[in-house]
Amino acid sequence: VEKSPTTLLHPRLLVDLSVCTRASAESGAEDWRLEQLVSANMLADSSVVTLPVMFADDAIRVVDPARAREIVSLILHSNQPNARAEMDHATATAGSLRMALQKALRRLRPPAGHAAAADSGVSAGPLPELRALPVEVHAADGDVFWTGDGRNAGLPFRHLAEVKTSHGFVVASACHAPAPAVRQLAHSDSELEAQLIDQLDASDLIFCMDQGVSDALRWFAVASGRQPPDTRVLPAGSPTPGRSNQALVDARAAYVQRELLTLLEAKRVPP
Amino acid sequence: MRVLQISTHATLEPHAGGSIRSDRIAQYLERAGLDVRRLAVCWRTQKELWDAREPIIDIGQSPFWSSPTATEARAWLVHIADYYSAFAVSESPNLAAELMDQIHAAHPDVICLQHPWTWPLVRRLPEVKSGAIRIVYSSHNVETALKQRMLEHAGVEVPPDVLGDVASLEHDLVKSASFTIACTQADAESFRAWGATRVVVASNGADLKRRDHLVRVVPPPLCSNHRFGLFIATQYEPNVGGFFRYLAPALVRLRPNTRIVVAGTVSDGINAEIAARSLGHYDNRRLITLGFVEDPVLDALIANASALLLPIEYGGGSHLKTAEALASGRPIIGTSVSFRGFSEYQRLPRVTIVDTPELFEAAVHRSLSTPSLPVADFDLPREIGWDTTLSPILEEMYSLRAALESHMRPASTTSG
Repeated sequence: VEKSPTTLLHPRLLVDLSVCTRASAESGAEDWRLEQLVSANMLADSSVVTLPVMFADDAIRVVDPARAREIVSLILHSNQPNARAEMDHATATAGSLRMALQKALRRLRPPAGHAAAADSGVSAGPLPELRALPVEVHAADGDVFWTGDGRNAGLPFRHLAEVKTSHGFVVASACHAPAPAVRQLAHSDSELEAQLIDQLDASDLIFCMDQGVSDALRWFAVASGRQPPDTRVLPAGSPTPGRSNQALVDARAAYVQRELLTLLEAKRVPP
Repeated sequence: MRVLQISTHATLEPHAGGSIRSDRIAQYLERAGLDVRRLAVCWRTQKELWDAREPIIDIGQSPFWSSPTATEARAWLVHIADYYSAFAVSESPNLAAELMDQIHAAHPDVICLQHPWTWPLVRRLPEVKSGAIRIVYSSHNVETALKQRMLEHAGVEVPPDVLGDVASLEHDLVKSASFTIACTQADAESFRAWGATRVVVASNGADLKRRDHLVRVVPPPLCSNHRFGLFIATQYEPNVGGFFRYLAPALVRLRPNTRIVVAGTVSDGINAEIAARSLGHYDNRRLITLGFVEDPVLDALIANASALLLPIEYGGGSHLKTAEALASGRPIIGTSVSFRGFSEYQRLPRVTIVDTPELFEAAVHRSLSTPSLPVADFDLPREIGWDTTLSPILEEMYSLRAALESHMRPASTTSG
């Protein structure tokens, strides 16, 4: 392989935080934990070259890495049992991830030099704003773009598909929709149908919650004049109703992370 | 021979199919040496300033539009507004006088009516009744059939006497005219069946021009790597209906970097319906509605389109956009209806005829995923140029001139 100036020696993982930040309780807070946990873990993994990004102004833009890590570290901390309960409650009542994170932040993030303040109810202030910087990422061959099920979060999958077609990077996403819902979308001439088609066009790999979703996606693709997508079925589990099943989310996140690392490895240019 | 062309649209800066045809006919007759005057009986727009080359009888000033008749017709007025043009003039003494003044000032030997709508006004003229002024009916459709279809399509009920009156005035005009110009053979057959004495077929044509130099020249938000199908049309109900029947279903499944581009005022009707039906996802990098565009922009769009789209569901006459599409050399996807008057071109390799939404969608997707046809790789089809398609009119005009001269010549001269 000839190494052009645009070829990355070390494949780069673009961690799209659009889904994490746009997710709302209406979209199913439980569903978004997978994306949040994978993004948090990948950004924290020092063995991988990562870049946090978001969609803004019709472009993929860089997010301040420090602020991104701060947000995602909150997500990591929120997995602690006491904070999790706080987060669950806030998500259910306040209706937004942001509110949940702010509540969790007040409990978890001690002001500098006051480690014990976390449990004393001292507010650490508002959650840092996660803003896209005016720096555009021109993704190319060698990049792997990890997003999630961004359809309900307004992720512009069609834009992503068009940029990807021109520049040849790899996109991995997820699908939380249940199989019957996927099948019903075919030829519905609806916005949801358009979004799912866009996700198929954009994605090289789609993580599915179960085999039924994978089958439905492949059927939907053919019905929409597309090739069946490359899918991965996440580890199965049976979450207890009314309680989050952290072990299952952890297992699924670990699976996704392994697959992302495999994609990155495949992009590595031999020395 | 002096010809006064009366139309229910302004023709000096034509954009819609009807006004383009009227303008090209007037220009063609002028170039052939006839003295052609123009007179428009229509709503004057802000763009249309006074121009001695084409006085406008501004029917917008008529009190008719607030009369009980117009109020009663509110539900269907928009669909057959041109039919009410004569009412608007008749019910305004000022406009009626202005019209008569303009006609007399033109001192015509022949009045050529574009569309039949002003016939109720013109037939009252003593010179017309006596035969001193001859009438030529330049049809654009068989209006009787077209108006009925448009109203049915819109689901609007109209009192039978209204459509009856449309039929009556068109029948009367066809029988009174020295000759009738039809756009298609089928239209001509209808007029003959009504008792027309002479009918000549002059199909729509196109301005022949090369666009090779415009490859990779596109207006934003298009990019040079986009492949797109192009629909050019004016704001006219059959055009909006055709878009939603044949093109809209294809939008959701468009592949990345492909688009449907709409140019022309039909964009307004399409956008209104998209908003009303909450179809905002069409706009997400799938559909680009440009609205009215200047000719250089239109030429650039045509030069770069993967296919020109003719999603025509119904209508009469021949479609000017079909002639223009054929003259462009680009691939065409259209319905059988869109090729009325051009059926001999349906078998061209670059023409795809499809008559169901499913087949139309498949043809669009196929066209957008195959390599583009080189724009320079065809010969301009001279037979579709206006000069060719309108030539039958000139022969009839010359015959009419001879008849008029013969009629005016003193008896001693004719007897030799």
